Amino acid sequence: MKGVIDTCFLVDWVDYRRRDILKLIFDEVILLSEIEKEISDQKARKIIRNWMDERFMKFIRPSQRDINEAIELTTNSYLSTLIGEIHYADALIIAHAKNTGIKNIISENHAVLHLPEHHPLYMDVVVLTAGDIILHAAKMGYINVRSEDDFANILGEYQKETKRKYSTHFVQKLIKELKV
Amino acid sequence: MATKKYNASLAPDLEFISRDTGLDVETLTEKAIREFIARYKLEKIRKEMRENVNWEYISKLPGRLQKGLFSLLDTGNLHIAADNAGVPIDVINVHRKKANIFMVVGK
Repeated sequence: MKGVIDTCFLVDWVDYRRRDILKLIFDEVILLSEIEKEISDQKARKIIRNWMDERFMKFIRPSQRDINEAIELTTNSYLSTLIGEIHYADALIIAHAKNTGIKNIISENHAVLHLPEHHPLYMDVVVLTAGDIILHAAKMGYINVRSEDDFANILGEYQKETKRKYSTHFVQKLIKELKV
Repeated sequence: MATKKYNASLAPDLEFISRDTGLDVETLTEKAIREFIARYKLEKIRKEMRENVNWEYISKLPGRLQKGLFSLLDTGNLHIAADNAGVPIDVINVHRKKANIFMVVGK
């Protein structure tokens, strides 16, 4: 599986103690040049460099088509209360995922998460959060989960370490999917 | 516009949306309902992000970083916050954590 990664996700994920599960879930993660520019932290840059050396992470410049589409998406998002404000970097990731057929986006950004629900052009795009990745890892046995409580604790640990808060509805949805 | 028939159990919700949007219940379109839900979700996120914020920490920051964190509380978007603060995204993220601002994720 391939995925296009967002900076908002990446800046916290590199600090997460179980960050290597990303390598078990994805064969390749695409980092767009616009996204890479936004990271200045030395530790994060070192991890990115290592992942690139391991050929797990691939650095790609967006195409002109991606750029044009991102500009259009950003402009339209200002006009739509349904989609909400989308930043150019988010739009670029979405456009690249759609145009290359990769489809998977790794992000926890509100606007990105809800775009496929509302925009007919991006309905095929799948947005995966850290919660989804942890769920995949648990289902595939990469994380040792013996009970729902174990899983809830691992989700809690991620939220605590990264100061992120999952809605109760989302946590329940993940736990329900774990059972299936 | 043709009058729509809704499930009776939805009546209180539709009346609530009607009051908020200023549109008549009979003429509420699917788009208006979706827009209301989208706004409601974002408002909920804004509210939750403001819980337990360390305002004292924010007040001691330089003006541009304060502006960045305020825009984060308003939009929930780190990219926009970093742009407004004029710093890289990981720098604003460090201040976010120190200011005890939780990124609320709801799918």
